[in-house]
Amino acid sequence: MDPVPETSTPTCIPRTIPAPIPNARPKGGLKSPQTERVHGTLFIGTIRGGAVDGNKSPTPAELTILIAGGAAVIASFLDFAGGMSTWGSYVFPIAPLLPLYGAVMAIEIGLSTFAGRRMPRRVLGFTWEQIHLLLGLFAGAMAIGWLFTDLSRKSIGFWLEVAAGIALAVGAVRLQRERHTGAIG
Amino acid sequence: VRTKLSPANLLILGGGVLMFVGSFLAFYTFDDPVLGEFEVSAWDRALPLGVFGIATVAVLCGVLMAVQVGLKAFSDIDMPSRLLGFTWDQLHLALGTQAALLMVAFLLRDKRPLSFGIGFWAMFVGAMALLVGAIMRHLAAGRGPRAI
Repeated sequence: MDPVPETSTPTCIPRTIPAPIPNARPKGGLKSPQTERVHGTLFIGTIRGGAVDGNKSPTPAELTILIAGGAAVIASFLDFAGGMSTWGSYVFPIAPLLPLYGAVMAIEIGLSTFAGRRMPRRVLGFTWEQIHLLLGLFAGAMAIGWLFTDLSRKSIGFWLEVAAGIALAVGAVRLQRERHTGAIG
Repeated sequence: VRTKLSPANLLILGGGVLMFVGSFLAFYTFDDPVLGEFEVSAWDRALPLGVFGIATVAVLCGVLMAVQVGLKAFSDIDMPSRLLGFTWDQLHLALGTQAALLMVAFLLRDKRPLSFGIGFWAMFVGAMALLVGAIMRHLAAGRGPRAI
C-alpha cells in the first residue's frame, strides 16, 4: 500500500507567468519607431481586450477599413462609367488600383483580427500601421482624383469607389489614433 | 546650405521636374482625318478617359518628392526628420512607387484610337527615375537591402 502523500507540506509547481496565450499578437500602438526599438519588447505578449483564441472584436477604425475595402472590391465589378466596370477597357488597370489597395488593407485587418494570424511585423521596412496609412491616403487621393475626371456617365460603381476610397483614408487615419502610433495627432 | 546631391537625389529631382514639365505637354495625341491632329495634356479635361485627376496624383507625388529634395539641398529650411511617422526615405519610396504604378497603369491602359504624346513619355520616364531614386535612397539608408 502506497503511503498517503503529505498534504501539509507546500509543493512548488513551476508555471510560466503570464501563461502563454495562443496566437496572441502585440498590441499595435507603439509611439514611434524609436520607442518601438527601445521598449518594443515590453509589449510583446500583450493583447487587446476581448481576445479569445486569437480572435477579437474589430475596433471602429478596423471596421471602417473592413467595410470600405469590401465595398471597394464589390463596387469594382459594378458599372463604373460608360457601362464598364473597373476591369473593363479604357479604365483597366488604372481604376482597379483603388479596390486593390482596399483589398490589401481589409485582408490584413481580417486575417489579424478574425483569423488570429500573426502577420510579419514589417514589410519592406514599413509597419502595418504605416502601410495602412499609405494605402489609405493613396486610395483617398485617387478617389478625389476620380471625382475631378471627366469620365462620361459615372455610375453606381464609380460613386461607391469614391466613397470607399475616402472611407479607407478616414479609417487609416483613425487607425493611427487607435493604435497610438503618434503619426497623426 | 548643402548643394551636393547624391545620385539618388539627383534622379528624384530630375524625375520630379520631368514629370511636372511633361504634364503640360501632349499626354495623348489623335490624328483626325477631318479635324487634323489634336493633343491633350495631363491637365486637360477634353477627353472622357480619366487623365486629369488621376495623372495629377502621379504628378503631385513627383513634385512632392522633388520639392523635398530641392529644399533639403538648396535651402536652409529645417525639415523634420519624420512626417506622419515616416522617414523621408520611406516617403520617397512610397510616393515613387505610387507614381510609377500609375504611369505603368496608363501605359497598359487601352487607349485606342489615341497615341501617347511626348508629355506621357516624359512623365513615364520621370516616374521611373523617381522610383529608382527612391529605391537607391532606401538602400543607401541601410534599411532596405534585406527587405528588398
